Amino acid sequence: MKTTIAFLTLLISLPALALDGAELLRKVDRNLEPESYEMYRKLVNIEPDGSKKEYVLYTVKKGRDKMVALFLDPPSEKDRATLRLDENMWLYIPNVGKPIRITSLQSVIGGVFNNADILSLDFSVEYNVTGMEDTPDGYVLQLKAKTAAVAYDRLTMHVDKKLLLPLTIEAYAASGLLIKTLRYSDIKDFGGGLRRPALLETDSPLHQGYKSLMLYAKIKARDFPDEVFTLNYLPRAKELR
Amino acid sequence: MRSVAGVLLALALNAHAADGIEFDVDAFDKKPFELSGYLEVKPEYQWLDRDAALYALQFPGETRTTLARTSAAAELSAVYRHDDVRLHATAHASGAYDARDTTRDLQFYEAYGAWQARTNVTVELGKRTLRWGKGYAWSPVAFYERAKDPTDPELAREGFVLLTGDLVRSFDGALKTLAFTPVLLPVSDDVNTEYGAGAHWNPGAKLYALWYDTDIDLMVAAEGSRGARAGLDFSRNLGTNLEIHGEWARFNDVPRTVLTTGNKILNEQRTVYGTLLGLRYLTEREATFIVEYYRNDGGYRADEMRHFYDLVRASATNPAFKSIAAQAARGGYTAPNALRDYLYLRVSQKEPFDILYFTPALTVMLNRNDDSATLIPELGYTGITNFDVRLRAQFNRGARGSEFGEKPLDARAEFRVQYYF
Repeated sequence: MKTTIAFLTLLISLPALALDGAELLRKVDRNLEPESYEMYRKLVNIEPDGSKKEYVLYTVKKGRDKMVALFLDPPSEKDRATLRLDENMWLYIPNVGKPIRITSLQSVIGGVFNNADILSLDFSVEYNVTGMEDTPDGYVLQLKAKTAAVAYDRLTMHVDKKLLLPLTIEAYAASGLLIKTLRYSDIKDFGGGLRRPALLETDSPLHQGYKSLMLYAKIKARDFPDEVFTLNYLPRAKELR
Repeated sequence: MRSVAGVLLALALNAHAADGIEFDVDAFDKKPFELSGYLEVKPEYQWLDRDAALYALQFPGETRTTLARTSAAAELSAVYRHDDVRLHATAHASGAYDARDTTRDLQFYEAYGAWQARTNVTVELGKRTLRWGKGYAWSPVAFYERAKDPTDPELAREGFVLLTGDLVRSFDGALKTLAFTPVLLPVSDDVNTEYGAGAHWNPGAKLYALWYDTDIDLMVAAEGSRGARAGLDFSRNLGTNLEIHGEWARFNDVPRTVLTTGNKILNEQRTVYGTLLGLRYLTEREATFIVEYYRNDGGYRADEMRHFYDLVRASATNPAFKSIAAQAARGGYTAPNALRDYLYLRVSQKEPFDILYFTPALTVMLNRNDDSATLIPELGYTGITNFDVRLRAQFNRGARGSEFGEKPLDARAEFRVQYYF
């Protein structure tokens, strides 16, 4: 009888747990970025010998699933742009002169970054919460990718209790293999009520000694017409700034 | 003093440092005037096939079997912005030197003005490079472009003087985007003479839709300097690692030069069709496969091409055939991919053996009508900031009387270094 009551209690509490976790994840998303925004990022690949390669990206996003990322630097990648519209993705290379449809897992540049780093949507758009733990050090969220198009199958996200911002994220493949660890730090005031980490460090057990950094700047809420997120506009994305 | 403090505060707010890395984001503010471009140096070595039919056409009276060539190029792009108007220009200078010749060329690939009337309305006037179609190596629906080189399809190309624009609307639902692109490409004695003959406006249009996650284009080009054309293309992801694309076009009144059995030149016009079907596939280990099949109805049959090669060989001993062979060559027999059915395969592997920024690739283009082929292995490296380095070879293989078997070039090796600024 006790077992049955315990089982029923667990069953009743599961939806509430999922709801709390989902609500927490949505709050984390909004604390990281407004739903529609523009921002600048510097991506840095650091190799074991200390040599670095840097990229600067300008990104705009609207709603749940519209995003453009434009390379501003280095000159060899300048004006290369990617568009994401729901599950559709295109890559524009100035020399080629037209946007080419790419699969969601295709890399747009060399190095350790992939599309998940460059064109990631809100966590709550790409992941379901499968578990939430309330620990003295913070919340721990277990996330599962909603579709196979998402680069990392599962995430374990450690969330700061007071700020409701992610501190560490462990990204796993479907096989359970740890692919990457992402660490947020350097919390700064970006204005407009947005106070969030300005630095994201990534390392991977698959690439020992390699590290990547993402530095954030000028994250601002901004609304864009839907037509900005079209193939015709992609070659002119640099005019948005 | 207050302004100095303000500048310092602004710098402090907008510059972050991590691991000694600064992010001076203000340096990336949009400027009214911008310059960019690249410099390129490309030494290459060619191994020639003296027995190939086209050797006699390209190297008349010569016996050389190798040729070293050095070429250089510089491309400079400028943009000037004022309110909703932008002026763009891209100048391309190139030169090549080998033991036989020295060539130089300077062209404006683009020089046009653009007016962004609204976010969804753009008007462009001037020399502009349009890119229509979804094909990687070929694009039958590229009605207003210079032909692309299928052995190096990502090379920049010169545009045409034209008037064009975009009217775009976005929607919620299955139809997400609809875009209309009209084109006017005037031809006269002074403008766009390479496009075609006569004095014509050459109007055309493209209608694009993103419908049920599929890119679809419908395009038309009215009769003018060339015959009327109509076409369509599509592209769609079949999975997270598989994309399919295709093109189809109808061309009216396409001129065609044919050698008759009596070795006379016959100029005819007919309606032809071009079809392309392609796939792009990404493996788990990040190897990308691009496969395309191209059918060009307007191309020559294998027996027509063999007849041409026989004539070229005969012209070596019979001077009477020389001018006919040269006429046929100019008429299309030596054009790239002059036959009917081609298969294209490109395999590139991103960063094998964990070598960052290193991409080896192999391209194979097979002529299905005579089973000849060209193979292009290459090694690319982008690990040095602002440099793009590529080592590339090309091997033409095929029996006598076949397209790639009769090329004067047997093999080629090139080393290309590009510096971007």
